[in-house]
Amino acid sequence: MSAFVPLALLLTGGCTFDEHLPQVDIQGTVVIPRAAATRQVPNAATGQTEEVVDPRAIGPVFMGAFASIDEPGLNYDFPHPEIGPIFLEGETGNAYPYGGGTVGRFDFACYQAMVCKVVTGRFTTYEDILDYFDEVVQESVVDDRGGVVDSADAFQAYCFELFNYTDDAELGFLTETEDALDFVENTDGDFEADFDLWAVTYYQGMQIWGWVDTPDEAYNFSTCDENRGQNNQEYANDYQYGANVPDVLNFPGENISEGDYVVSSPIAFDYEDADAFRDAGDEPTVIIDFLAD
Amino acid sequence: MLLTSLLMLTACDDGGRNFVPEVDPNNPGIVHLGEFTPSPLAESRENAFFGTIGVVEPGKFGGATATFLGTGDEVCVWVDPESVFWNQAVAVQNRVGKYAYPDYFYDDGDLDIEVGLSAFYTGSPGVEMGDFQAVYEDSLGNESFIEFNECTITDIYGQAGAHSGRGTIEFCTIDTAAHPGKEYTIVLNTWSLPSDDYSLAYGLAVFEGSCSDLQDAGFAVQSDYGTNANVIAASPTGECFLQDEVGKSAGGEDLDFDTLERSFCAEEQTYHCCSYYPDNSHCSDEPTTEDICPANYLADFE
Repeated sequence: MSAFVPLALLLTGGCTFDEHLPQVDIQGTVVIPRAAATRQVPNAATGQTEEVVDPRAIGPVFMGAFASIDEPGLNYDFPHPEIGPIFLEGETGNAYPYGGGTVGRFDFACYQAMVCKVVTGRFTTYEDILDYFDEVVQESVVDDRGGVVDSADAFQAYCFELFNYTDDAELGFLTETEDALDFVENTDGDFEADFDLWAVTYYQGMQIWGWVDTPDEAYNFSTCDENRGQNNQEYANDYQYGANVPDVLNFPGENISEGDYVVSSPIAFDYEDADAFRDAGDEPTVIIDFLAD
Repeated sequence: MLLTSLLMLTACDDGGRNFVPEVDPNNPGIVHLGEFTPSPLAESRENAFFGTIGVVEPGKFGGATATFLGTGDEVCVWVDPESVFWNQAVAVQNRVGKYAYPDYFYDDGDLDIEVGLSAFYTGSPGVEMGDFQAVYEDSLGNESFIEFNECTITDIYGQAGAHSGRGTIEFCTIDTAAHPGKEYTIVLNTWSLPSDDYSLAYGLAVFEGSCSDLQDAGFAVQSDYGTNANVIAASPTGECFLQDEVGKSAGGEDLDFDTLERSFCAEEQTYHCCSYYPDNSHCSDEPTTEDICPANYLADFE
């Protein structure tokens, strides 16, 4: 029995072993302006256009850690990470991010009409999606034959049939409860969400920067590519599920379009190394506030 | 215990150099072939270069380099290393007969292509092999590698960075539109040498246009058995775009190699080694069985 004591101690000690990894997990809060959740919606009754503020309109938020952020006007008209060499005319340089993540991602909501239209962490139910597209986007959800989907049950049945799922929890575009949605309105009337940037390689002086992709008038997102993602060939279907463009953090400027908001005051970390960062437990608040136009 | 110690000490006396092939000054392991002019496709075969690469001293990478000037359009770089290789089909049931005969793999070598602008090449042609990687240092002093190799070969999953295996053709199309008149360097990195003579014969062709243009070029190959096949940029007939690299690199011809290669391109290598020319030195000399070379093979083949 006594021979097992050192082994047990060793195993117990192993659980506390600090590998001093150069990668860190960065958690914090990101704040986006109220305007990024606002859409101009025509009112059929009055004939006027009304502003509708709805957090479901918030597109994916892309965030990364970079060596530094350039002032507007250097390579782009908005604050942008420093870029590496440009090799060919008409191309841009790589921003060489140290890591990053998103708040919300594109997910395929079962119908071809929903390709590149739905972001995770924004909707809780099928009704939620149908209502939003009916009332805010003013483009009803249609099925693959062009018929309007007016029933949550039909929506669910189609999804379950398509994916061979049996539970809503298997669908990434549905969030289980209202409390679990990404964004909440803060006291300033802006919207904020928690973010996690996993396994970012830490370098002293690196800066956290990002942007929110807001949909254009036709409700298209510049960071989503309809020709990427899984191929749907059910019966007569032949289309892709859509996915975000590749290397989105390597070439942010190529994917930021008019109406998007970017960080103008990036958060810089001056901790000497990853261990010091972890010890400090820093959870920054990143504010996205600069309108790209 | 004492005897064991003595044995171990004796074993340590062997530096292992006897396992490393000797350098042959007449067949260098690093060569520079000079400048190539991309040929019109129709003349690409006759303008191809044939040579050999030998052993380099331990600790160095071997290979060959050559250059060409950007044409302002696409250029195909094609290398065919010695010799032909196939994976022997060993399935008990439903064996693919044309791959039943074992390959003779002691005559196989492997060359991997890289091509890029000479300005980015880090090697010394004819002296030391290099690559096309540069280092970018950001404002915090952190380094990232930038790859300037423009010969991108994808694997079966579509991922870049693949190379063909032993004895297999390798090629890529380089778009020189952005740099007409600028010098490009072709790098043939020695991945392995044939273990029967440590001399790797190869053919190198540089021609105008895309490698896929070969599809419609009308190059054909005929086996001794009379089977014809159109040469395209794929296995097996691509192996016969440049024929008999073993014989031509020695300034002559190697009938054994040439006939087996043409049989391989016509997918008749098992028939060739079993029945047509069983004494071919490039066919494996492993004992064959009725299972591999059935008595009625010819009938089956037909």
